[in-house]
Amino acid sequence: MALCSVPFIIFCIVLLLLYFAAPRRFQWIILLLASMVFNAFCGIGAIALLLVFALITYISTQAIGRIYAEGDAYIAANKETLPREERKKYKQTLKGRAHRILIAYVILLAGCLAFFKLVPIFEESGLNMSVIAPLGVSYYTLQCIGYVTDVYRKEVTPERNYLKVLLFVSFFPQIVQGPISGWENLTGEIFASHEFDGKSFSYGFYRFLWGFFKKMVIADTMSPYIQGLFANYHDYHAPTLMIGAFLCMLRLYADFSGYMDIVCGLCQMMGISLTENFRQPFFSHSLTEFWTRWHISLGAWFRNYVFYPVGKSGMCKAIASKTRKKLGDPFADRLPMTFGLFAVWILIGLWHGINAPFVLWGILNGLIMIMTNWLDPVYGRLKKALRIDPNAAYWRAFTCIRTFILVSYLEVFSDVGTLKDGVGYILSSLTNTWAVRSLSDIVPYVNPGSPGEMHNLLVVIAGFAGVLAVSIRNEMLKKKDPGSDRDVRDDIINLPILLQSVMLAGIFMLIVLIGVQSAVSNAGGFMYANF
Amino acid sequence: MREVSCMRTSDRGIKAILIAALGVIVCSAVMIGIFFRSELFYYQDIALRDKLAGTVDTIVIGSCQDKFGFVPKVLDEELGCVSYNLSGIHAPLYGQIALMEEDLSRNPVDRVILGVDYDTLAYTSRGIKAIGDTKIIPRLNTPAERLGYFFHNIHIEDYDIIYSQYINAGLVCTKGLLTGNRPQGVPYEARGHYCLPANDMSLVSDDPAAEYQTFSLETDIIEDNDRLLSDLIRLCKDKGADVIMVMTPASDSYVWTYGGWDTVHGQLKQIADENDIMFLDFNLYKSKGELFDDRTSYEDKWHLSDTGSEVFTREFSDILKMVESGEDVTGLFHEDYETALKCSPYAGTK
Repeated sequence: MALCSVPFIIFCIVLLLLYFAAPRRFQWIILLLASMVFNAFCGIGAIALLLVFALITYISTQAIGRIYAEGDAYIAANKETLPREERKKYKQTLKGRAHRILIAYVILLAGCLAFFKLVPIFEESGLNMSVIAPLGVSYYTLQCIGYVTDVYRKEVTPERNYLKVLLFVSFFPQIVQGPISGWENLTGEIFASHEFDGKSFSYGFYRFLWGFFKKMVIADTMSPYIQGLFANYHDYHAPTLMIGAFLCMLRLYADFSGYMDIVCGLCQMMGISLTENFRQPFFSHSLTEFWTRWHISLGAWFRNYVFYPVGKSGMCKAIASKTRKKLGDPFADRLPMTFGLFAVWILIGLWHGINAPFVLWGILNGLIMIMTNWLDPVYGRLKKALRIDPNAAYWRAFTCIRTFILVSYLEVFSDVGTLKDGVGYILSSLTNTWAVRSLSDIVPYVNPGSPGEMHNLLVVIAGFAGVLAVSIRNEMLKKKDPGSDRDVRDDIINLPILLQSVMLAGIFMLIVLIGVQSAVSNAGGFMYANF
Repeated sequence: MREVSCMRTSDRGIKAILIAALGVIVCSAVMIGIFFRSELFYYQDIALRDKLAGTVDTIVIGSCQDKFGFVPKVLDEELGCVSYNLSGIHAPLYGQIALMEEDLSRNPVDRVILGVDYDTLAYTSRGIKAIGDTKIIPRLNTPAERLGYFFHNIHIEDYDIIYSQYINAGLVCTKGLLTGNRPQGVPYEARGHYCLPANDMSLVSDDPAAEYQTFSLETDIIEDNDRLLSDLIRLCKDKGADVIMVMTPASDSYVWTYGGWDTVHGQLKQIADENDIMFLDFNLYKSKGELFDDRTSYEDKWHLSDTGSEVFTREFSDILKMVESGEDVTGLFHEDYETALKCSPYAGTK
């Protein structure tokens, strides 16, 4: 079921009515049924895979839980007779058994994910497999692995109800493109009972509508222009291609964060808080900070389940201690971080797609972060020598713009298509002619003679201005009070009711007048759903 | 106090949403109402068809190619009839049936010219192509018929595009009414024909031979289009009308660059034979090269221009007269596209 469609809106209305009408202890069952219905639109295969993934996850967590429970019971029963060393050894044996289950589980699920990611490559090489990757498999695979790892680490207790595990795996607002939630975070929300709350509902609705605006009016309207630019980049002026790279990044933001606003808004209407995936990413001062503000749940997942385990692994520790004596503490201290980042970014690249542009995109991201970290003391000295105040407004603005340009170019690299095209686009944006004679040389994809295209351009610019204004306000509120969850909606709700209504109706009409046409022309899919 | 303030916040939000929803519903009703009532668009012809009711004896039905291709005025002059071009832009077959049901019931129709195109059987009205439905609905007589058509034929996933189209059209109408710059409705003289200026459609290529059949027509029949086409023929015949199936000419460059014409022709011919009606494919007309020129006869690759349509309608009328007088016209047409393409202006390059 497409999110930007009438059936989805009807689905949401029915869900909200049922959710609040149902007895509170059955509300999670309504969510489970809704998730099954939503996934059924993707075909029986998608549902079957979810059921199997949930079952394997359930069995694995139960097995790990039983090992721990048996061990605890044995130790409790023999506490006085069993020597401390024996107990420790016994615990290690148990941990080893649990570890083997975890490893087998990770290999199985990651293998499935790799298989689905490899299908396009097999098909390109002429092997007709007739297999389509089920919707959201990249997201719920990570979510499942995270849950089982948490059980193994004894951070959560294994859930005994299979249906609850199934809901955790298949919760429909997350299935298309995340967020990737941890067990505690998500289940604390979806299994709790929620009463109708006017504030939550209206805040959720505002966000829901804003999400459709971002996706349909901004992202979908820009798509054909960007596709045209990517397809014929040889023919355009260098400034056009540069602007195209920035627009590509902004479109991705409007698309992805628009989706997040839709699903978080819907959940908030029900009183459910979903993990946030974005926190004003274009206010980042470095690539490292960017990745703590962009696709937050993916970054958090890889930090928890790849970065730390790699950094703290025995091999990493051994290499660090061997080099410590020869090359000193600063060198050795940075090694775990380097190995961790490298592993994370190779895997993030592969997670996006098993092809050269994504792998290289991942490696480049990782290398830049690693280099930034290694060269941090040099930068510090350089800034001091040049008398640059890192907190000065001009420097902060410069670092924001620098980061935006960097992430835009990295994104273009993986978005254009093949590796050759990615490199070609970037080189063309620097080496093609800079001799701009008119505005249409810079934005040739908008025909000034077409009133429709000019209207759309104006709406997109106004839309971006709106998104920017919202981001600035949210950033200001976060700066003022980092602990609070205040955002721009707290300002809007205090406006005169009629003005609020006009704003809501205006946004809705823009979606109808511009967004629907653009979404239909682009088939309305979400970019990150392809991963 | 804190609770009271919280209550107020929640009330304000809900109230704003409800007022906005009410505003949207009222605005939508007004916009759509203005569009339906004002009949300002070139395809809105309820008033005109109402005026002609009881007089029309020849109807042209089909989609864009036929709306642009058949000139009723010329048909009237040549055949001595009272004709109307009922064809619709992107009109799906079930839409053509709905329009025909209305006009057959109020006119003494004895001749139906059924326009078919390269995509008649492959056409799907889903997604962006649901625009065809948005142009059929305002041509149906009563609100009940429009609602019936909407709920019966439009897929729920296309409701948004239909709604969007009508709000857009309503805005254009409102703006036109307010500024006095009204869009053109259907003029009486045109009687359903829509006139397009010519554009040069010649193949822009140094090597036309390399362009030969580089694309392919869609030859998979969608859903039950073949059944609907037969239903449409049967509907006309049941009302006592003679039906002739016609394919208007497409530009030579289009016919040259696309493959699959013989398959499409065969599919349509089979339906014509099954229903015992004549099928004239003007892409196979032996004199096509003399009558039509890619530089002046077409608006785009698929649609005849104003000059092209006039020439075509006169030529078609002559052929129809011959058919109706019992003459065999099959010799005027090539047997298949393979033969016809040998006479294409681009054939010398192959």
